[in-house]
Amino acid sequence: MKRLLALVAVAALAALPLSASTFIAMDETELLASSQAVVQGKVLDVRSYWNEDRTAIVSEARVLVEDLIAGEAPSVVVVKTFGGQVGDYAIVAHGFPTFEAGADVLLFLAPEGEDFRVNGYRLGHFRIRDTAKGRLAVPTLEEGVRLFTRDGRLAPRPQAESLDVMKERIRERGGELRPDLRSER
Amino acid sequence: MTKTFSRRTLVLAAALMLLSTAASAFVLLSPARTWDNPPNYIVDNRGLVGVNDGNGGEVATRNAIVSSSAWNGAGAGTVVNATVGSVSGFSLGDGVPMLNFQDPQGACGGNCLAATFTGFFSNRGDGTVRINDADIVTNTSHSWTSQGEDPGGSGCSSEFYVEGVMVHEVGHGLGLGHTNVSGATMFPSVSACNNSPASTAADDNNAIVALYGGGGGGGGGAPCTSCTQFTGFLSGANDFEYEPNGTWYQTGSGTHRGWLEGPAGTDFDLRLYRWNGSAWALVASSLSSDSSEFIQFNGSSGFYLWQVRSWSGSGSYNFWLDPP
Repeated sequence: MKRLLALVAVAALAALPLSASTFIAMDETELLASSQAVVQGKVLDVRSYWNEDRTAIVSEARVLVEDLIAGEAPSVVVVKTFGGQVGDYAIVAHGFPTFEAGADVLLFLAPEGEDFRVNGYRLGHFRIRDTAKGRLAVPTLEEGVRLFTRDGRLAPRPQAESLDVMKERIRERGGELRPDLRSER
Repeated sequence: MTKTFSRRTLVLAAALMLLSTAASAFVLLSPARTWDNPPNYIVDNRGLVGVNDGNGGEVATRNAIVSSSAWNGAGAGTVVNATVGSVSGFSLGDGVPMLNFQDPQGACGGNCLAATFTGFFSNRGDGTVRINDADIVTNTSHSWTSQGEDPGGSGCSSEFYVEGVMVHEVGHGLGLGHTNVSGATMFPSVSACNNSPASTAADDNNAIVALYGGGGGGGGGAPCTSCTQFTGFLSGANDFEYEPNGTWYQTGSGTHRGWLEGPAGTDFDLRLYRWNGSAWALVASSLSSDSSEFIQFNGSSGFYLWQVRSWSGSGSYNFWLDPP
């Protein structure tokens, strides 16, 4: 019995969400200056496939734009990201945005060929959640992601905030967007 | 130990759960995944732009990856190899681990410093996951250095040591997540001009032993720092014991982890059961041909029970448990 009690007493390690990539922090000013649009929307569906030369699994999410907060974007945007599962084989692009059908999202978008990608990786990807505090824009950056400032210091993590407040602020700063951007990757 | 499932005071257990505190420990990627054989990373022989040590940091990176101060000295023998070579034909999911100092697919641009991609089959058939590829790319638009260029931090300014970053990334490729132990290689952050992640700490080494087994000379202790150890004895083939301590436990939802170490030359297996309302249902098993077993299982709340069973041989065993 003593062992059982001791066991229970020490067992409380919370598993961290994980990421294995390393990113430089971007604040909202930097995100806006390198985005073509900021949208609120709902993920309609997601499909994963091997790219043409079969060197990577890519996922595409179709996102219905419910509110074009700033910039220019069609009513349905296709957002591409690396990683996904095809059959019983999966490639995880650690720390990259991932999508689930039906999710409500707020995205900073940059062009990716004919389509889009999330600008700033998960720094430009927010989930919208209804909470007791109202509707929040919640960062999707994983707890464990390695995030630095440009001079190599540990960067503060983005925090959840009121969706309305965030949208209002972005609308006011919409002139900082870059609608003329081309894919830079 | 008994083989009966005697009842315990669940309310007391639940109360003690509330009093428990978080402990520092390594974290494995979920679901737990391992290589069948040590991967051999091909380190880009073009070197990394901006590293001025005579070869673009390729040799320093290769040496750091295979160093006995890193993963191969963790106590599980050789778990990773690396050679400098051509990364032409770089592809994700092709079964050829590569460290590409460039980014041919344009995956890591802008604010991305380095990106790791792991490829794995969802199931080996025994509930575990097999990694078959892990690739790393870097973004050359950021500032990099190496120990050869800036030994011991001297001369380094707002640059990232390629050795430390890549040893960390390779740790993920081996199946490790981020730890909350400051100073460990798998700690999620490091400042510029700090190459300490190139050398693994005890927490990192415990993680490797948990995944790949001990016996390399560095083990002997618990494979985890937040777990509880139990001991038992099996008299021969088909003998079994239940853990913890002959009984079950109740938890909320979360990750159960259990490690088994039995005598050399025996084949002890490990199984995890969950009470489904009317019977104990098998939810995970680790059935290798020796007596070093590990299970990580994400489960809903309920009652759980571990079984240690001899397939062949007799002797004492150690079992470490880390419930949610």
